[in-house]
Amino acid sequence: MKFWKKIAIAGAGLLSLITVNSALYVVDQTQQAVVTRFGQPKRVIVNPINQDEKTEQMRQEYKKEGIAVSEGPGLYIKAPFIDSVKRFDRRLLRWDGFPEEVPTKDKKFIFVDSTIRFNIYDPLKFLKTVGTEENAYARLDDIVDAATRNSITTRDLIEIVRTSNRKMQVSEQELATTVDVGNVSEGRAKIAQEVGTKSKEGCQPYGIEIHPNGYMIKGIIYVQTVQDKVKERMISERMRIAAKYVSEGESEYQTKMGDKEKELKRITSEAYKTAETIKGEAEAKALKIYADAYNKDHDFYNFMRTLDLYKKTLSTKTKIMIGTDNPLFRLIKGEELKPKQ
Amino acid sequence: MGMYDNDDSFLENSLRFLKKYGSRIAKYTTLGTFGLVGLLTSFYTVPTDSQAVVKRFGAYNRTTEPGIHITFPFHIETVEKVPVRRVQRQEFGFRTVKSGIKSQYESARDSPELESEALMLTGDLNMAEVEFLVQYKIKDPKAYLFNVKEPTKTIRDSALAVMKQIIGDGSVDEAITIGRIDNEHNAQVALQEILDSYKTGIDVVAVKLQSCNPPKGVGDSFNAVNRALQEKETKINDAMKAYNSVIPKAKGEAEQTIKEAQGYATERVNKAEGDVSRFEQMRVEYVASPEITRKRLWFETMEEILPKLEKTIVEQKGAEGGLLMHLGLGEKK
Repeated sequence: MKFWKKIAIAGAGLLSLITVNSALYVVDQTQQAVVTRFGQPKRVIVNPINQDEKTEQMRQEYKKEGIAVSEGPGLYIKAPFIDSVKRFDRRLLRWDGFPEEVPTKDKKFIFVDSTIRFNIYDPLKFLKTVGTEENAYARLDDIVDAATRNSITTRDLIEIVRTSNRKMQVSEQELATTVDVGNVSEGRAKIAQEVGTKSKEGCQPYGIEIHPNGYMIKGIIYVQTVQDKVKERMISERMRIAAKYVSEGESEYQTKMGDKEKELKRITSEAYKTAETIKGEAEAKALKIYADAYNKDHDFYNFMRTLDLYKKTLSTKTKIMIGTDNPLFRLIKGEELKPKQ
Repeated sequence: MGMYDNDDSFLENSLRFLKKYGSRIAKYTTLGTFGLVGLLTSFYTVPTDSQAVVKRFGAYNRTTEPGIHITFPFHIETVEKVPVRRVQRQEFGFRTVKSGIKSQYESARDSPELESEALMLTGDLNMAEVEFLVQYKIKDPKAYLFNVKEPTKTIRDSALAVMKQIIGDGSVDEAITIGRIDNEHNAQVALQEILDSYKTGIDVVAVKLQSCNPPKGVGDSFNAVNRALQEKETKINDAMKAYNSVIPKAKGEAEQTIKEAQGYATERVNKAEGDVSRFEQMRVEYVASPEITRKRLWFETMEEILPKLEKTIVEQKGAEGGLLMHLGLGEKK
């Protein structure tokens, strides 16, 4: 009998352990929770990241509905077996869309890949309307995709690509016209804000709040056919510049070679001019010197120059016929043998 | 034969053993396990690059520094270690396959997934492939753990959104070359702003652009521009070379021509002055005694030139004939 008694005690102990385990529950720092009794919400353990007016208002509403409110994470007690705890994440959650093909207002087809950051700000409302995170993602698919599509199809491509009207820089002056794509009136940041706000409104009934900066476009790209066209255009733009460089090179080469010829002619002709001028001046000076001197005695000049001429022009090859009347031969003929007077 | 004869005796023996010692074994085993688990869960160590966040019954309790620490056992307190001092990185449009001295990378050209990260629209409605990385640190472990469910994916999404927005607001040239430094800086600032607004507890250390290229198939035309630029410069240099090889030489020659002319001029004038001087000197002599000087000059000249000449002397008026022949002054006929 003693043995069976022991078993009964052990059984009672186990039962009370199970009861205690069912009565105690932990809400983690990353969580918030709703306690329900037979499906009826009894208590909300709130744990918002930001304490503000909105969360305060939420608490008041809970209390009005006769639901107890507890603050923050920790160890809690509930009625065992009949109360159950639904835990929800309190952190910023991520929704990631599939890249969607969307036409812009100017009929350009692009893929838009967007993502959302949101949190469950009202766990009770969330429990009532959505229930699980998986369901929430399905709702977000509908809401965010529709908002994205609406905002993009009503904008020209440039509005979605650019953010501001800052002046774009180019590496080649030749490309200046390619950055002249027109001004944007809103730009990507504003459009993203708009999609975010619209989605936020759409999520309100589910106790889901999209973060003010929560809508992000993490990818925009042309559909394949447009990509090919854009590549062709980029290639032709660059080839145009390349061709321009080649012809500029050619033209500068020709100019420089022309300069070379011009300079060459200038240098040679100037040198010639200078040289001839110098020579001319010297000639003139020489002439004047001669003239000044020789003018003093024409007769002697004639005589001297003639003698000089003989010396220079008569050589061994010269044949001369000399008559005996020539003064040279006066002595030969004996004419000059007797002295004069 | 052993201790037990058959199955019956084995059962009987086991029952007897349990009756005698069973409760004691159960007690010690339970206590021992309890004690061991309690001891093992009472201590934890925090590595030097980390901080640890301690939760008590799920609620944040404290943050501890590197070293060995005590906690309440049996998961009353739980510990999460966060590497706050380690700079971590995320890569976009490329992946480091193997890092080391010779790192191996997979680039945007290697997989469609990486290409979709890297391929961006530029503000001039062109495209560019931009590969970059983000370095970050966890500055607030409490915020990092409790505020955002997927912090790494949040960094990745935000960084892509920020970079694509910046690239979308500039030209393809800015994306690839001239705007890189600005883009890095602007991306870092914008990314930090977003991550702060999400209260992620993350500090963006740097955004670094890696290779930035025109899209696949377009690169050749960009290279063609560079080649053409090189070609242009070569052409200009060739012309400069031709110019420089001719012009200085021509200048030298010009200088020479002028110098020669100057030389000629000096010579001409000196010669004239020389001639004149000689003439003047002689004239002075001549004026003193014209007759005799004249004769002397005449003779001197004749003396000089006559011996060189081939002479034929012709007898005139037939006077004293034959004499010249005798003297041998002429050539025999």
